[in-house]
Amino acid sequence: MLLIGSDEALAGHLALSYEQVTPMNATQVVERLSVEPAAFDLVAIPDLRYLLNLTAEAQRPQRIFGPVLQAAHRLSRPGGVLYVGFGGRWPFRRLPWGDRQGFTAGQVGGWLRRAGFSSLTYFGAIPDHRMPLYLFPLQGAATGFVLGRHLKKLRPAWLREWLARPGLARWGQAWLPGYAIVAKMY
Amino acid sequence: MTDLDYLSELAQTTGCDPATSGSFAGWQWLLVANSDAGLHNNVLLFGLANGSAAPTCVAKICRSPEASWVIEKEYSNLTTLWQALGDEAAGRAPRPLGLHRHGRDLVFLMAYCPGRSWLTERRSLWRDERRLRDRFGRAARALRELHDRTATAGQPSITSSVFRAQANAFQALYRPPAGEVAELARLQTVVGQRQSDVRRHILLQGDFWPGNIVVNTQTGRLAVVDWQAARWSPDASQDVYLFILAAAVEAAPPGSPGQRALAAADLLASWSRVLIPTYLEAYGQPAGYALLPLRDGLLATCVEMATRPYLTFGVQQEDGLLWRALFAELRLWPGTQT
Repeated sequence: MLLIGSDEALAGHLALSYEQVTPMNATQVVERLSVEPAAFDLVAIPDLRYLLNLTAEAQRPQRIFGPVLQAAHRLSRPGGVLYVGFGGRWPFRRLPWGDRQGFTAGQVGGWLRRAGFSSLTYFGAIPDHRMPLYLFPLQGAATGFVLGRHLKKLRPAWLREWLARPGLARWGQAWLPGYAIVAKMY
Repeated sequence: MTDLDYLSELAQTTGCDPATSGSFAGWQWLLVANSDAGLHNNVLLFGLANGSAAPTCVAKICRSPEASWVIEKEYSNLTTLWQALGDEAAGRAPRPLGLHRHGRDLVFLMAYCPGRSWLTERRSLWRDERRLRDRFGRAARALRELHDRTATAGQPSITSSVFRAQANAFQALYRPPAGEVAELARLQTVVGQRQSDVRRHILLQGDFWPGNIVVNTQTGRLAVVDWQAARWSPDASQDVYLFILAAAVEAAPPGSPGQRALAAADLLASWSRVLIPTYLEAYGQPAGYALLPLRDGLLATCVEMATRPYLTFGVQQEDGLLWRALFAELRLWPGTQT
C-alpha cells in the first residue's frame, strides 16, 4: 500500500497492520516517479485537497493533480486499486456560505481519466471524506438507505422517508459533504 | 478481483439473494464505520442486491487482522444461538451465513436484520415514563426469552473468577479510594455466593443495550444484534442491568464523563421507583441461574464495562471513565438493596 498524504496518524495506524506504508507529499511522489516500481496493490490519497495545500499553485489544481495522479497510475500494479477521497463542492458555491475548497465528483473523475484511469466507481462519504461514518456507492437505493439511517432522528417520519426515496436521494448526490473514487488498474 | 467483488461473489454463493443466483455483478456495498476508529473495532459492509432498497446481508470485518478473533467468536456465538433456538431465532438475531478467510482478514457474513434501533427515537422518549415502561417491558421479556431458550443444565463456574479479574483490572486502571476497594471485595463475595447454588447456565448476550435492539417495523418483534461479547454464564445480571444502565447513560445530556455519570445516576434513582421494578418484574425470577440484587448488579456491570476494552483488547477507551464514575455514584446510592 502506498499512502499519499500527510496523515501521520493514519500512516501510524496502518503501519501496525501493513508493512508497506510510505507517507509522501505531492513533490516527493513526482520525484520518485522514476525509482518506485509499479508494485502497489493499493494507492490511497485520502484527502485530495491536502496536495493543494503543499503548493503556492492552489488556484490551479490540475497542475498539481495531473503529475500526482499520473504517478499514482504508474505506481499501481495491474489489478491494483487507487482510492481518492475529497470534500464535495456545494453546488451554489457563489453564495457566501458556499464551499469553494471542494470538488465535484465529475471534476475529479475527469482528472483521473486524463491520468490514465478508466474504470472508476464513485462513492459518497458522510459526514466527511476524512473519517467517513458511511461510504456508499452513488446509486439511488444505497444513497436512500444511508440517508434514511443518517437522518434517523429527523421528524416527522414521512419527511425522512420522503428524503430517502431513491429518486430524491439521486438528486441529493450532488450535495454530499464528501466523495471517494475507486479506480481499478488493468 | 477487488475485495468488493470477492464480497459480492461470497454473498451470491452463500445464497443471500436467491433471486439472482449465478450473477454477482449487481451487488452494491456500503461501508458503515462501526464505533470509533480504533484498530480493534470492526467495519460493517451492507450488501444491497441488484438495486434493492434495503440490504440483504452484512459483512463484518475487523480493522486489524490481529483482532479478527472477535469476529470468529461472534460467529461461534450466533451459530450456538441459532442451534439452540432453531427456526425461532429468525427475527430475534441475525442469521450467521458463514465465516470466511480473505487474505489475512476474516469476513463474517450474516443476514441483515431489518428495522429501526431504539436509538433512532427522539430524546423526548427518555422523559416519557409511560413509553419507557412499554420499551423496558418488551426488552425484559425478549431478554428473558433468549436466556430461557439457551439455559442448559450444568455450571461453567467461571464467572466469579472473571469478576475477580475485572475487579483487579478496575483497581489497577483507576486507583479507586479505600471505600470503593472494599465495595469491590464485597461484590466478589456476593458474586461467588450467588453462583454457588446455580443449576443452569445461559448464553449471555453481553452487550444488551438499546443501541443493539432493532425493532422490526413490520412485525414489531425485537431483534438483538452484535453478539461479539456473548458468553456462557451462570449469571444473567450483566445483560439485565446493562440495559438499564446504558439507557440512563443514553438519556443523560452531553458533558464530561463525570457529569454524564452524575446525570445517569440521578435518572436511575428516579427510575428506581416504578420503571426499574416494572422492568425486573417483566424479566421475572431466574429459573436455575443467578441474578444479583439491583444495586450489586448495577455495580458489577459498571466494573465490567469500565474494564472490558482493557481486558479484551488491552486498550482504554474514554467511556471507561464514564463507567468508572457511574460506579462511584451508584456506590453511594442508598435504599435500593434487595
